[in-house]
Amino acid sequence: MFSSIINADLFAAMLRVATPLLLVAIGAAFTLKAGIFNVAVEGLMLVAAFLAVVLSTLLGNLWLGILLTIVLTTSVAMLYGFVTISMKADHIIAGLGINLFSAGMTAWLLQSVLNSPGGFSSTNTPDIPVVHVAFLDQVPALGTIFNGQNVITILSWVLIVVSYLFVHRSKFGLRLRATGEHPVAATTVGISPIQWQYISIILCGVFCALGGTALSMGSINLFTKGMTAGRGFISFAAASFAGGSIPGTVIISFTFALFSSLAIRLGGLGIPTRFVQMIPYLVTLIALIFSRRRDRL
Amino acid sequence: MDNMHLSFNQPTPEQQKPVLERIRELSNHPKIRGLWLNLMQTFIAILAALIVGACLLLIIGANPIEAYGALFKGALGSWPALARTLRTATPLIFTGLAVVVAFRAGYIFLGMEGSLYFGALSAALFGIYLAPGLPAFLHLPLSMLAGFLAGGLWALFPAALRARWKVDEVVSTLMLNYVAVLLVDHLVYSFFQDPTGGTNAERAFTVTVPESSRLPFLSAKYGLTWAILIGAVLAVVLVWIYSRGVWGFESDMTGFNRKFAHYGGVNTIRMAIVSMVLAGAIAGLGGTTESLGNYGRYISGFSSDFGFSGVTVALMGRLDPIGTLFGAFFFGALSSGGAAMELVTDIPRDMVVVLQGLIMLVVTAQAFFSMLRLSAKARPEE
Repeated sequence: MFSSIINADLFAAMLRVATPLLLVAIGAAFTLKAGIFNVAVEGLMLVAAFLAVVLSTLLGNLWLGILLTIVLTTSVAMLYGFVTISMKADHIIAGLGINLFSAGMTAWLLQSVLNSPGGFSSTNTPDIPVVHVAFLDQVPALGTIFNGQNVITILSWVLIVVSYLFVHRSKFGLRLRATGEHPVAATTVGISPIQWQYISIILCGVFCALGGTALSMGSINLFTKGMTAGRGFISFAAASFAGGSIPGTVIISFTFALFSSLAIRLGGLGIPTRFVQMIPYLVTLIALIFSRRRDRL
Repeated sequence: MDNMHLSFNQPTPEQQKPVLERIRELSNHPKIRGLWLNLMQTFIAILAALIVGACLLLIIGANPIEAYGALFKGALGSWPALARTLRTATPLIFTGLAVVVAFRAGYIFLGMEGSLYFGALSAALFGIYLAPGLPAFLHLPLSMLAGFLAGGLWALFPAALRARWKVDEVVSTLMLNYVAVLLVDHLVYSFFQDPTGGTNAERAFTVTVPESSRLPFLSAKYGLTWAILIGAVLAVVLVWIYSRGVWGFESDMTGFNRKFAHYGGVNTIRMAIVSMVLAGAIAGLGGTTESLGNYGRYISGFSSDFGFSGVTVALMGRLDPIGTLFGAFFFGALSSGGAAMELVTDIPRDMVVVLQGLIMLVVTAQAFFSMLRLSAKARPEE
């Protein structure tokens, strides 16, 4: 029974589940490092999930669809940035505003423009290509785990390394972190906190766009109303526990993904569905209790 | 004697001033000026949202004037429409006041939705299973108390985590909302499902509560119950607490500056727990009045995002209890008008959620209001 739950398939599923969480969490980590308590990632993720499926279907071209998704999601992120950075709105309230705006906008467009209230799927949606490395099939577990993952998942692993180098090992990252930790000190050495906060918002928009794309197009091409269901909040929590550090954010995101994919399997063991659905939220809550980071205090 | 006679007839310097001058002086009174700024900020936030909403309508290819006309007519155009607006506003009064209590003490407690669900279920269960033979004058208040306490009890969890272990209440309450909705639905499906509804029914719902624990209707035709009056009384009580009560003063002080309040002798740990538990309890009462009032049973999914709408409502009311009543009325009008608009035009009611989001984006934007000279901080000469 144990091996029927914990096996190579589980880890393959974990990697698939992790992709959207991971990308959005890294996005949230950028803004957190710049001192923005960005709960808007939930809404940004939802917008991106919607746009990715719809645009790539309507345009008939996957890459063009994803590119436009990135541009438009980043525009929504910029709206949040403008309101919080330049207009000095409360980060959390404005974030909830973006989430409501996104929920309303996607539902509105589903009904008015696409005539399919509730959700959108089409047989014409192009698939995200998957990567298959032939020699991995020779290795017992690795073949199952790593083969058949899609391009966005592979890209997300590259982006982990890139964001780590950017935040923790470059002078740009140093400026970004200075902005969040001590904006006044940053200003005195010639760093413009406003500029770096906007940069972090743009990066967050791009990462949320990719995360949302991975959510709606990662396994089946489908968008349903409100499909993020708190995943953005969970990603935000992951970044927040790690204090915005990239390695920490990544490790916590993978842990959440592991529990989520475990939960799906537990459903088969007679555990009530609603408890299974609860597990990601409970795991986040428990992690929150044990985390030593107290960012907003 | 003569002197006194003189002063009686001659106009005082105060009266000699031209009327405009006196109005200006009056308008510089901090209280009046504060009220004016608050009103204008909310008004501008609503106006900005409506303008952006109109642009979005135009982009999608709808006629904004037609849409807003249908919305207005559906919200306030007739007595039945007004009654529907008040009915829609009712739960928002409670979630809005819950937000007021937590936010004024400086805690961004977002667990209204969870407490609402627990309150609704507990009140219904108390009404159905515990002491069903009680007379109404006892049964109804006790059932409502059960819902009130259950809402508070659910909020005790994030409150204690916040107060004792400094666990951020924003994320914890956001997570607990999902847990609460799933947990309450599970309880109803597994143990309390109305047998006539079947266990595979789309929705979980209990049997109806006995008449003795039913919250009476003011107007059964429009679904208006006593809840709206309870909400209004609650708002007045809160006004009294915040203007006269020691706790209200301490709460505002903690919200203003937690460290200052702590050094000033406020027990901030207790303040965190009490304000969040009270917020949860008020939200729970909101759920109670829904299940004991309009539905007469617990029905899963009865809340169409009342929790977050409470945040919008309270912020439009600038965290003032009476302001929140107006906020709830405005938002009730928007929601019920939106539903009517959906029937008349092709525009879905989700448009209203977009407007709500836009209002939330603007309503705390301090620099925006400074630019419009609508912020107290923007006038250094005062």
